Amino acid sequence: MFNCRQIAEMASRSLDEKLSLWQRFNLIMHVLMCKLCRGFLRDIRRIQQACQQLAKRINEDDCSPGSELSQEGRERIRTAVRDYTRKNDAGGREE
Amino acid sequence: MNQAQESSPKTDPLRWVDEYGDFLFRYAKSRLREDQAAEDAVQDTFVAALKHADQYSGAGAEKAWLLGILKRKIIDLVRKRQRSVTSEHDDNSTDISGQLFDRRGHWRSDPRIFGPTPDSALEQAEFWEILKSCMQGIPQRQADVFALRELDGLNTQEICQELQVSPSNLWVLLSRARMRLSNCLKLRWQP
Repeated sequence: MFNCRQIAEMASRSLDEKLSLWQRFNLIMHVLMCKLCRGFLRDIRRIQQACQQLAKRINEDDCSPGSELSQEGRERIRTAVRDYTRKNDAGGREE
Repeated sequence: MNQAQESSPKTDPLRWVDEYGDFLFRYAKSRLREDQAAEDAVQDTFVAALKHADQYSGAGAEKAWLLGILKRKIIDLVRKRQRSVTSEHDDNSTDISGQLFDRRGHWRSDPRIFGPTPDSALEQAEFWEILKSCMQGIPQRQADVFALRELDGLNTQEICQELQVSPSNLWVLLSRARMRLSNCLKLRWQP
């Protein structure tokens, strides 16, 4: 018999991999009887779906007040880009 | 010679910074969490893009091309971070399960977050803020693999290959990340 802690780990793994027949059997039997583990499994599945949606929002750059590059960060990046371009102009293109 | 003459319009790097800098930064931050690391990744991306500007076809999708480079940079950074943090450090101090389960492996308290019926959490702006904030609270190694798995949708084989970690190690990290995230949501999200 597995305890809730082991079942919770198995529940997590079921989101990443196809479990063995034995593991699946134990997971199902346990969640049928244990409402806390049943709830946990349901919740982590929902969190997985929520993360997929979050990823989509980030890809579409549709995040409500998202953060921006800091002024210093932006300047640092501009300088790095300028330096790289200048260096390449001086030494001729490598490619 | 000035910038405009030197670079063809399709690869004007300073325009890239203005146009895509913030988007790439937000993307990198969602994966790496720290501002500094995210900025470094964005900078590396632009420099790499300049280096390989000849490989860019120029056909639209400039943003997608830069994002593709950034994704590689993020994985490189994560791989380095996974190596630099000792696995010992991640063993006990970052394992939340001791707080969630008693010695016999039973839940100490009810872990359930959402009600039994599909609720409207995903439609509420507040939920997304809490989710993002809770993701910030996951310890680094766990959070890094969690982001590759759940945000990038890589499968466990791909993650093991990219990061050179064993499958069993990966499952432990993912399971701890999920427990921590679920516990944080439980504490902070009231449907």
